[in-house]
Amino acid sequence: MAFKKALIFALSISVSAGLTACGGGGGGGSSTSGTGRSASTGIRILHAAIDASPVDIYTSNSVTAIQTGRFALDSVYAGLKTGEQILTLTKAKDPTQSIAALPVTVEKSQHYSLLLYGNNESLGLSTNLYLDAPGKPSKGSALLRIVHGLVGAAGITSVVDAAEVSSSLPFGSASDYVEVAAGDHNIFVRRASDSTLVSSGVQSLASGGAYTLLVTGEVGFRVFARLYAD
Amino acid sequence: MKISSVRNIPRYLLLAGFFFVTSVAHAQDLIVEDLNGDDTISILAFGDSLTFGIGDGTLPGEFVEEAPRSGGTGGYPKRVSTISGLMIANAGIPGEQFVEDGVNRLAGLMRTSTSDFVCILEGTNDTIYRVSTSEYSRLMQKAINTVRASGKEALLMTLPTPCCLHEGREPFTEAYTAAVRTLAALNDLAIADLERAWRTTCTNPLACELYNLPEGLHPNSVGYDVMSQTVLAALFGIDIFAEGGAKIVEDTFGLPEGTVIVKPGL
Repeated sequence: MAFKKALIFALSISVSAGLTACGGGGGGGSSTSGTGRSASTGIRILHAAIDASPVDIYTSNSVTAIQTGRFALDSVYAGLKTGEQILTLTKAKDPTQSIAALPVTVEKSQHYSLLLYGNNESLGLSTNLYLDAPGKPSKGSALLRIVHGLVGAAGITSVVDAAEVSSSLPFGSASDYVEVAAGDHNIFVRRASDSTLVSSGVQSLASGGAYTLLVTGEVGFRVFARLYAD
Repeated sequence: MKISSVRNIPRYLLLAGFFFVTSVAHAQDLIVEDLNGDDTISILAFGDSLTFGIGDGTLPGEFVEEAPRSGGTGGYPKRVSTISGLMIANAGIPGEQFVEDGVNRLAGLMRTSTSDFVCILEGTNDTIYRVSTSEYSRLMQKAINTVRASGKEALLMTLPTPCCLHEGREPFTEAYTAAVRTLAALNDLAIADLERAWRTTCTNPLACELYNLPEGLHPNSVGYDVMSQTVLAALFGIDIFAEGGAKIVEDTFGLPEGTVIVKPGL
């Protein structure tokens, strides 16, 4: 008995040490990705396909994957070389199973988000590549855009506090960036067809920051709203 | 982690225990963490009757055509909790089919559960309806994604191979087991390989003594011991199938020699 209790105590020490070292784990259904632009030119995966395995991304110049994307989890920008190239998205750990190949011309200092959405059941998997060019918000403000990867809603409408920021955003698409005051905001997402509330939660937007709110999951199963720093 | 229970332990015991366990923990690779920062490590054992603990309480040699229904307090979760001191909630529902009900129930639990870790053992009842391996695999990936996006981590478990009155299910359990192994590798997840434990440990694979016999689907008390030892090893990053693996488990948890009966092997 003493051994078991001592074991619990020792585990608690290990946990504390682990948290100090790693900064803790992920959040729940509505949380912020603490990432930004670590690479001067880069790409990140926004994995929004709830029944899809992790995916890898390769460039024409890379033998190994430059990034692995997992459903609705944090995603940092991976460095990209400039110039013409083909970005290939594959099933993780298997470069022979290609999901998409996207020819792009990458210019210096550009950043991209590669959205994977749909499902393996009825919709199939699709991709869209977005240029992340939010510009500069006014002093005391932040920029926010919505990306729709939620299965079960052809379109979604998003409201920040009481102001509508995107209306009937089609599945698989991204809204324009809109400027909102920095601070904590209640963000409500409704299915456009019947106004069903599918997600609500508080998100913190820092002054001068730019963000992508990825709405994903499946209506009636589980919906996630994940905030990424652009 | 909540450690209110250690208040009455003499300091020298705590100190000795701490140094012993941390040295062992360093030797192993403890995979459970306080992911949600609530100072508690808690585990959700999710599954069907094999998680609930149906059949627990009988011993090898007893004739059992229908496994007894325990109170849901036994099975492998209770054993793992008793041995390790970890908090484990038993979320097993007997008879549950994963593709029809289980995956949806899991999504609901992820909304409210404060667990850090989710052990998933499902599929045995899907064999009755001959659910395709591709559908089982797709929904298991959906379950993994839901667990992780909810800020938790998953431990996958393979299915022990049935025998005797349920031997007809074997092709499906083997296919699901292969899918679980593939998904664990693809998602970098730990795995408690129960199929392997059965294969290395059963004296008679055609009528495995770890099962209630001739029922051949639900483990008996010894079978649940094997399950718990395999899960415990997986949670603590111990290769229980390596030569000497059982002894490492015993040493790690201060168990008497010979307690761990899982045999090494491929």
